[in-house]
Amino acid sequence: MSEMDLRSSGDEPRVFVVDDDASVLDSIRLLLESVGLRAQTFLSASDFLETFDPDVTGCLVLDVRMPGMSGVELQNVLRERHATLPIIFLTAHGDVPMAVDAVKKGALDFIQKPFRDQDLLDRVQEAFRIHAERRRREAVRYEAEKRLTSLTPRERDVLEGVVQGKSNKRIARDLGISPRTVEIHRAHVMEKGEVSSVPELVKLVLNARE
Amino acid sequence: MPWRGPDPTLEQEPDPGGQTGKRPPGPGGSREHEDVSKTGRQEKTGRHERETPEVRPETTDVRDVRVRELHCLYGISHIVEGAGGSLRRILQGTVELLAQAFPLKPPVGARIILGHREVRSAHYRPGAWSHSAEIRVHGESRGSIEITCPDPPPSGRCGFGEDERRLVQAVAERLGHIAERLEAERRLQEHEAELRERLTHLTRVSTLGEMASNIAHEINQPLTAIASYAQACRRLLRSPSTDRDEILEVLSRIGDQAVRAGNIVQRLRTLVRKRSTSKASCDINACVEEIQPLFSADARLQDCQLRVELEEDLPRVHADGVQIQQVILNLIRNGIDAMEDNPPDQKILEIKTFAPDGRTVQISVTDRGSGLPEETEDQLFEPFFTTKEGGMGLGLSVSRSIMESHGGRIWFSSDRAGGTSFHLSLPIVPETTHE
Repeated sequence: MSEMDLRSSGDEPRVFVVDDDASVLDSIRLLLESVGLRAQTFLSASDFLETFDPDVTGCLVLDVRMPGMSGVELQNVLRERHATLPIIFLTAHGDVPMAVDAVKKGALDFIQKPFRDQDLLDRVQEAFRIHAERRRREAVRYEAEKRLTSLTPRERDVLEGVVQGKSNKRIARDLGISPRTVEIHRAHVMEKGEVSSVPELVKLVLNARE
Repeated sequence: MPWRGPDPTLEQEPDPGGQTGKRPPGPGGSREHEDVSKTGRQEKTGRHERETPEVRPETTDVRDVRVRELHCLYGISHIVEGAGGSLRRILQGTVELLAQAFPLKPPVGARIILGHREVRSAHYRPGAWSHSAEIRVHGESRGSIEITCPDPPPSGRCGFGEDERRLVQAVAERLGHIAERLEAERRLQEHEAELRERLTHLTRVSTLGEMASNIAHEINQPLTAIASYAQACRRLLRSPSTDRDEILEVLSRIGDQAVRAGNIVQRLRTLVRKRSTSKASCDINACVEEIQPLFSADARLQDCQLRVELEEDLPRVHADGVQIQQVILNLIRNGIDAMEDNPPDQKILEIKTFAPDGRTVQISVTDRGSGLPEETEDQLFEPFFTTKEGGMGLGLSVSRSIMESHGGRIWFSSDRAGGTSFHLSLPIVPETTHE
């Protein structure tokens, strides 16, 4: 993805930068802005959390070691909130083990300070891509879930049987109802799920369960 | 035994061209010349005694001679005791004692040369009848004792007798031993001082070693900012709508950050460098400010708030700034450690400087830790006493010896609420010696 693509991308992803050093923040903001990225900076993890909007796409560039809430602690809080924002950790030389741990817990990567601009920009672009993908999948899942929540318990039972590849007769026997009733439930499920074929239905269920 | 005062004609004169020919091979160059025995009282009694012909007590009685010798050596021991290790005072006392040990008419003069020093008694006059003995220190000739008599001794004998020679020899040997001992003591003191300086340096370096990771972080921050600013500048310059002013502004920020990193490195180098104590007029507030980047990194990364209150226009003190910084750093680190288990809003360290009484400058470091257990209070400043895991137990003990070597003090007080304050005080330099 080129710089121009980033600049013109529709949903305007943002880079959130959290570091306790004002000069580091300022320089990173300038670097990001020099390639046309939108940057928002915070001097502490709690400052960031105060304004954090889970619906915004982008990524988080986070210093591992900070007074107050550390970068790793912020990562934990975001995980508890099921936030999908990818995290790029900034570390000093001595903090590498801490950063490796953070990556194991789902951070995208870590970069040692001081860093080459391209290293950071590459990670940021990768993070944007990953976040966009995560959000797209999230939207699909959300949509699938929404469609399926309106099913009655009996319809769910029938859906389960269909997804497992059982015939109407088999489902009817398993549930102790008539094949005709199964057929009616099945038609309702297809209607509520807004699908017209069994493969589409299976895909919808898989999306919802992702 | 009373002795005769000097005849005015016998006042000391410059050595007439080395006529004595017996000047011992002490190191050449300048010698201290100390006339030690001219007092008016002695002059007054001089005339009367001169008129009373006194027979020189012939030293036929061996016991008498021995007693005189012992008396003289005993006298020297007394002088040494009262001299407080000053070779000059020992030689002055001895030369007088020696001259008085010869109850001769006319009076005997004495001169002692030892190393660069030369002392003479009142009646010393070169070129007269003389006898001398070498002073040997560690087997090397370092000087001599000479006794002189202006006229041939009344007995008609040429020169001094066997007894006098023996006494001079005994005194020369005694002085040789004293010089050896003083030298050994001086070496020991030098050695001790060197050890103390090495220990001071060692504990300072070890403190900085413990802080190294935080200090490295503190240096890395401006470097990170510099790298990012520079890379941003490159990109800004490449863009078609180059904003000259913005780039100039960023370049000046790069400069600021480089200075910031340089300052930390500079502080560190000053503290780590091995150096001997050098005291000078010193601004305590500047001392604290210089090390602030070091301890504030420590405090920040341990979530500790610092409250630094430096009283303005603090009088200057005479001190080795680096050593005082070492003591302050040590107290600050102890204070931060003491609050390790405090809730974040109770991690507050206060650092104050002030002049409480016009005579001293005081530095106080106050923590809000759980206080010192009573039983540790007495041992706190003892070497190798520590409450920290992995601590050397030298910080406070070295701090105390630093403060004592500055004529200052270190002590602590406990807050009723639980915290502990450590205080340093240093005497103010009088106005006249201000820089």
